Amino acid sequence: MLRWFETNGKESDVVISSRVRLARNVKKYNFSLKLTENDAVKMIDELSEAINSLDIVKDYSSYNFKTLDEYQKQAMKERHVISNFLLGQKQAAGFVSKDEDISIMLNEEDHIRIQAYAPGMDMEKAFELADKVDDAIDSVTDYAFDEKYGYLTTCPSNVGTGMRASYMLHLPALAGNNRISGLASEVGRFGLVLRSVYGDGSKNYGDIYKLSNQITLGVSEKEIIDNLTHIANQIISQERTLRKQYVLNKRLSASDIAYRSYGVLRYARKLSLNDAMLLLSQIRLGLAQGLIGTDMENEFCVYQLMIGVMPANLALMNDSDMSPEEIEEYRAKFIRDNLPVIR
Amino acid sequence: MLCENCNENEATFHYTEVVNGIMTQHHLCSECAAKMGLTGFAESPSADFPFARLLTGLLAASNRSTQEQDNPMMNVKCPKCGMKYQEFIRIGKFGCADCYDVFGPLIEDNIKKLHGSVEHKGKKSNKTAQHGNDLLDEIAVLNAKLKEAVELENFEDAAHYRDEIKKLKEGGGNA
Repeated sequence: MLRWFETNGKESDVVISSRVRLARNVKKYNFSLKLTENDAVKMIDELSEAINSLDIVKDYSSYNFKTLDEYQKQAMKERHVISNFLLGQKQAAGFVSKDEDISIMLNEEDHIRIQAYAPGMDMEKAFELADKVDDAIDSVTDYAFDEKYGYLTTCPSNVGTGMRASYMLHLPALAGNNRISGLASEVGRFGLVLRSVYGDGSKNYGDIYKLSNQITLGVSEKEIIDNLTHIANQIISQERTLRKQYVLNKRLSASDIAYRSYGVLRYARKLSLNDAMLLLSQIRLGLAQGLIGTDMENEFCVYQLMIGVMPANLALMNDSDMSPEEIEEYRAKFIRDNLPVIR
Repeated sequence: MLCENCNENEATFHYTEVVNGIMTQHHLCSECAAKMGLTGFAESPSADFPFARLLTGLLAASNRSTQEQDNPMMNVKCPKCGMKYQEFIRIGKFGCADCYDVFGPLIEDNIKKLHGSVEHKGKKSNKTAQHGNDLLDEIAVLNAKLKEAVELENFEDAAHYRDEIKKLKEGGGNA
C-alpha cells in the first residue's frame, strides 16, 4: 500500500497532508523535564510492554533508539515518523504502522505522542486514526488527566485536548506574491499558526507551509478541526485564485518555468537541497495547474520526491558516509531515476 | 535590566510579540536570544510555538513586579517532582501531573489569556470518565437500595449493600 506522502488525497493541488498529534502523559512518572534517565528507561519499557499487548499495534513495527544509528533516526525525522524533539532525546522508543501513517513516540516532551497522517485534506480521518490508538493505550495505562484541565502536558500550550492538528499546504502562488507574512499574522487572530516547513522565517524551500491550531484548552477536538479547516479552506481558495490569475495572464511564462524546472531536474548531475526543493515545487505547481503532465494513470505525488531528496534518506538508500558533493550527485541521480517522464 | 530567561546577563535584545492580539515585551540577553533562535529571525529546532514563549513572557512580567519583596510564592515547591515556583515561571513548563495542582491556581489567569479558557472541553480519559460518572451512578443506586433495605428492616441485604459501597469507594480512590 502507498504511504501517505506517496499518494494524493482530496484538494491535493494545495493540501499535501492532514495530521493530528495527541500529547499524553502517565500519572506515575514525572514529566520529561523532571524525569531521570533511569526513570525514562523504566517508563519506556513499561509503556512499550503495555502497548505491545494491544491488538491495534499488531502489524506495527517498533524501534528503540538504543539500536538505531544517527542516519536512521534522521531519516525517520525527514519522513515525519518522529519529531525533532524525539530526535534530540537520548532514550526513546516507539511504534510505527506499516505505511507510516501512524506513529507512537515514547519519551517525547510528553511521555506519549500519538501522531496520524492522512494524505490531502482529511483531518477527520487523521483524527479517527489517532483517536483509536489513544483509546487503546488509555485502556492499558493510567493517563495524567484532570477533570478541569483535561490531559495534563509538560507545556501549558498543549494542555486540555493535548491535540495539535495541522495541514501541510503547498502555497507557491501566495509565497510568490509575498502574502505569507500577512496571512500568518491574520491566522494568529483565530488562534492558528502558519509557518514554513522547510527553512526559516526569512527563507523557505519548496513553498511548503504548516497551518496548525495553538489553542488546546476549552475547545473540543471537533471544534479545533472545524476552525482549522475553515481557515485552511480560505487559504486554499486564495492560493487557487492567485494560481488561476498567474496561469491565465502569464501562461507562456508559467509553462516555461515548469518545463525549465523539469529540464534541470531531468539532466542535472548534482543538485543542492534548496535547488531540488525549489524545482520540485515548480513541478508540483505545473502538474496541479495542468501546465505539464505525465503519462501515469494516477496523478504523480511530487511530495514523495521532496522527502526522498532529504540528506539522511539519500544516505540511507546509498552509503551513509558520503561527502557533501557525493550527496548532491546522488540527489540528482535519485531524481532522474524517480521523476516520471513529463510531456 | 536582566535577561528574563537566565536572570544573569544584561538584557540587550528587546522585542515585542503579538499573539492573538496580546502584546508582550521580551527582554533577553544576546546568548539566550540566540539559543531561542530569535536573532536574525532564524528558527531554531527548539523554538517552540510562540505560545509557549508568550507564557514565559507573561509569567516573567507578573514575576518582575513581585520579585523584590519576600514573596511567599517563591517558596512554593511541588512535593512530587521538586519543581520550584521560581524555576517554573522561568521555563513555563510543568514537571509532573501534581504541578498542575501546585502551580495551576497561581497561573490560572495566564492560562486563560493563552487559551481563552481554563475548563477542558473535549475527550475524556476512559478511566476518568468511568470513575467520574459510572462509579458515582453505581454508588447512588446502591445507596438507594441500602436505604430501602433499612426501611424494610432487611438488615442482611443492607449489610451487603454497605460493604459493596465501601468496596467501590475504596477502589475508586486507589485506581
